[in-house]
Amino acid sequence: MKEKTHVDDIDRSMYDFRNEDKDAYKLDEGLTKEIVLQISEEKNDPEWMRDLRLRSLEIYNKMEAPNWGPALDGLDMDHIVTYVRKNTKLADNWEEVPQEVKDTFEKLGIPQAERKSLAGVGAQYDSELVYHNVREDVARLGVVYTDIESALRGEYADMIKEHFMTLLPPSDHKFCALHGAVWSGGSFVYVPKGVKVDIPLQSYFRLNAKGAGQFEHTLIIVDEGADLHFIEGCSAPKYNVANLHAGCVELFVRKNARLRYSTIENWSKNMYNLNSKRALVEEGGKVEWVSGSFGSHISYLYPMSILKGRGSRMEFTGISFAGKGQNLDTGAKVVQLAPDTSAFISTKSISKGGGVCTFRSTVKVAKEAENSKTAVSCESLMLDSESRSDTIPAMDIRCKSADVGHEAQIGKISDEAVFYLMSRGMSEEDAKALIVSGFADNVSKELPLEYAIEMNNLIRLEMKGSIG
Amino acid sequence: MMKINRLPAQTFNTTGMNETDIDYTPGQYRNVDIYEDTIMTFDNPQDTNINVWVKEGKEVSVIMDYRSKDTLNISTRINIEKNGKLKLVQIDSAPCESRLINQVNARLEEEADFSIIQILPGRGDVYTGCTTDLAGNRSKCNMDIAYLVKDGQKTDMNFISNHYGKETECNINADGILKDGAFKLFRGTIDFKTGASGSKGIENEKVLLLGDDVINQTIPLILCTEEDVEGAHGAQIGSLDEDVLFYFASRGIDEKTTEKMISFGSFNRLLRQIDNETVRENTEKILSEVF
Amino acid sequence: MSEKFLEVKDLHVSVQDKEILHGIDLNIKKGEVHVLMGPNGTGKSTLGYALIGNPKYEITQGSIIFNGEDLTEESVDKRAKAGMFLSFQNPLEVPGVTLSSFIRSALEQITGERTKVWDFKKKLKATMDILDMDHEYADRDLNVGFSGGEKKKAEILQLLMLEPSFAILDETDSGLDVDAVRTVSAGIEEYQRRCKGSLLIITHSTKILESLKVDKTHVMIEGKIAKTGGSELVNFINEKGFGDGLE
Repeated sequence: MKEKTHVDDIDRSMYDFRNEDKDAYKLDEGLTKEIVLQISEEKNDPEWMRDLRLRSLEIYNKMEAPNWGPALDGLDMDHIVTYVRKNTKLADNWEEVPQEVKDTFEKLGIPQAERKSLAGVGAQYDSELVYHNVREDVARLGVVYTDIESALRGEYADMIKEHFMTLLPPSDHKFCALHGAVWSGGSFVYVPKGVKVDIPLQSYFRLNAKGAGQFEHTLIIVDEGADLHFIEGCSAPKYNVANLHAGCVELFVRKNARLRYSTIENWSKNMYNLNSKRALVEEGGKVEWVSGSFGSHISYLYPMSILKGRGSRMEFTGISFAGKGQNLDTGAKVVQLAPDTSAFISTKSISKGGGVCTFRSTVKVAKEAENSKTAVSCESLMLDSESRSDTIPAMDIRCKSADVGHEAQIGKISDEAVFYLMSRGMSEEDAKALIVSGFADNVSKELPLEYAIEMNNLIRLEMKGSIG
Repeated sequence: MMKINRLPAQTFNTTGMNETDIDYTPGQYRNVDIYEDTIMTFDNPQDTNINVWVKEGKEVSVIMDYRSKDTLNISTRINIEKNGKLKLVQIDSAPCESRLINQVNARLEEEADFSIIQILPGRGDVYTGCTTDLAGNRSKCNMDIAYLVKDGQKTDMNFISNHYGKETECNINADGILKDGAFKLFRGTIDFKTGASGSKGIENEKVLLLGDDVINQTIPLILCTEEDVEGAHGAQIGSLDEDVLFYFASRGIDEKTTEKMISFGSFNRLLRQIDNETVRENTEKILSEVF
Repeated sequence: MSEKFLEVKDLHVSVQDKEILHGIDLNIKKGEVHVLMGPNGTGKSTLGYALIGNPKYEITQGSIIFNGEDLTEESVDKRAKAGMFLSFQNPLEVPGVTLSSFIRSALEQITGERTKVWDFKKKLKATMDILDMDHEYADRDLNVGFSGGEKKKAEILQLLMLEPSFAILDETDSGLDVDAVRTVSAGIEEYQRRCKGSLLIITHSTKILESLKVDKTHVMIEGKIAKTGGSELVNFINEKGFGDGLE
């Protein structure tokens, strides 16, 4: 093993510890109708859900994988375990969570964060949620935050049925179909009309099992005039075989509601992160995406906002950091369908040590979207010449009163800035790390403090050993 | 069926921007070699391969005036040797609605300088593009396009600057006006290859939407595998700027006239660069008829 | 008839729903020179924009009567055709449209007649000479790459060529060196000679006023005319500023 790789592994130790999965219930590798039916049975699905799984499987088998993004050759679906369940029940108290799992989340700092700054937490370990809790005062407002499977059987069953995979139908793309067939775990959030949740809710996804897939489904409905901040975190230990994450996030932002959806993704570098996220925004509503992509081997990630109602808005703020062995294909999509809508996309990317960052986006402004505004800006930083950075933004404008602006820039760290910091006694490595953190502040300043600190730590880790 | 204008890096198939199919089958190509200053007029729809050779240290100016009434399919290959300089002006001055398929490939050696100007005043469907390989160190290219698309016409473009040499520079500029029912697709790519250290690339697009039912597609790419480069692209898409309207109106100029002046203005920048007076005046006449 | 040339009554103006001017009254007779002074951000330029009719400045109350015509609701180009002119503080750069074609087009729209190319060019050159402008500027793109001084001269050139009956000069002298101020002043004198037009000069300094006969001076403070006087008020402000002396 090369020295540098060794250093990388130690640096990630905070995320890379792993537990033996000998006492877990696991389905066979691969994907067959039998496996899908087994998952459905294990979950005690209602009939419509079982049908959706089977229909999705059919679509999955017929559809081609995307022919335009990073290569997916290393992903062999015949060897991905689609369902792994720890032998434990869903708890609403960390004491009831098995020691080993609890330790995992302790190390990741989840229970501490919950005590300090969160309104509710969901924690998923492999395919199932192991912990779910929401603060009493928030629950009293009528806010529902629960695992999606109990919601499927409880009083919100109809609401789930009405929305589930309607924004992201299985036919959207191959991995959406895969998700429809084998999804498991995830959260359901409902914020009633006019309720403003002041502190964030969080879900944390941890994929521990080797060679497994995680397919959680997140469904959030923010009703008229309501307000929510939802945070999603993800990590996994590193194995030498491919793991797969193909989650789906469906967000419904009703009239005059606001939803902020923040993600700090730090999957291990053997992960194929083929995640799908989509929001539907009604009149006067607003969705805000804050997205940091640091981990995974390959990512395909383009959260999409459909601005359906008059005056609806979206903002997307993102950063991607690709190091050695990483190919992060990320960006955003927006469709503006109504008058007076606005969309602002601002992204940054950093490529280092042979890593590949691609910013990929589409903006569509329909004929009906009169007086709408769109601004896309992306900046890329190249830290060496082994790496790669591509910018591929597509725009399709069909309304003459639309106002669309786009700008992109690519370049390297300014030598003068490094020199200036070094003249104040900083080492070259620290100087560069500081400049890169500054470059990433479009995202860090949008995050709650604890997460901004975590993100800056991640950047510092990634920048270690980048000199010479 | 001809497939052209392929995007150097593919993206979502749903965008429809990856490549274009044209319902046209080329016949026998005629070959033309050019070594010095030339004005070529194309009156007949003859498929033509043109080779432009610019020898070391030479300065050449070529004007191609496309006047065919029927589909015109021209493919131009250019080689500019060390310190050579070429200015290529291509004008679509067809007398009626006709189709133009215009592809250019240029290779530049050390310190070569290439400037291409395309004037497309809405004479029918246009498929055009230029791929420039900046192979030699300190080679430079300028690609400047002005276009008008109207009445259900289609204009499909693909401009690519491949930076191989050190300290190479490119500037891509496209100014367009879309009127009722226009469809336009602009692809513009700056590609910094490993080793192209010290290179710069800038791409700018301005689109004025002046009609209803327009479709404006834009995809400006920057591809990069070299650290020491500077690349930027920008696009502004919309109707006439409020401040421009106000300034003109404050001098008594109404909105219609302002539109005309600004539209003509986006071509004017390029007209000035036509060295031949007859061609310039003829092009000016065409433009004064459309605006 | 000539008594009432420009009559502004109780003008209230808002920008993005925020009221900037709270009831301005102003009467300018034919051929008069009025000076508008006041601290920064007090609404002087707003008044200029509101008079010429910038759509971003909404007149919520009051009226503008010009030459017996109510222009309160009229569009900018109609006001320009009626004889109003605003010299911009920061004129826009417009690539592709030359200074001469801009002026020619404006002239044709205002007069409704086609200009004779030769006569137009001759007059343009002669006027540029008064302003000490290189003739080469006529064929350059409007304000593109012009220095601050050249932009101001290009505005005065338009004033002299379009011959409006009323001109608002918004900080035409700011940022200019002594020579440029002198040239611009000469241009303004020429305007008075040629057109016998009225002027509303928005300014900070008095240099531009030295060679002009000022009829009235207004001081604007927080969106209102705080004081009106004769030319002596200019000197008074020069000595005492906009402070207590005026209240």
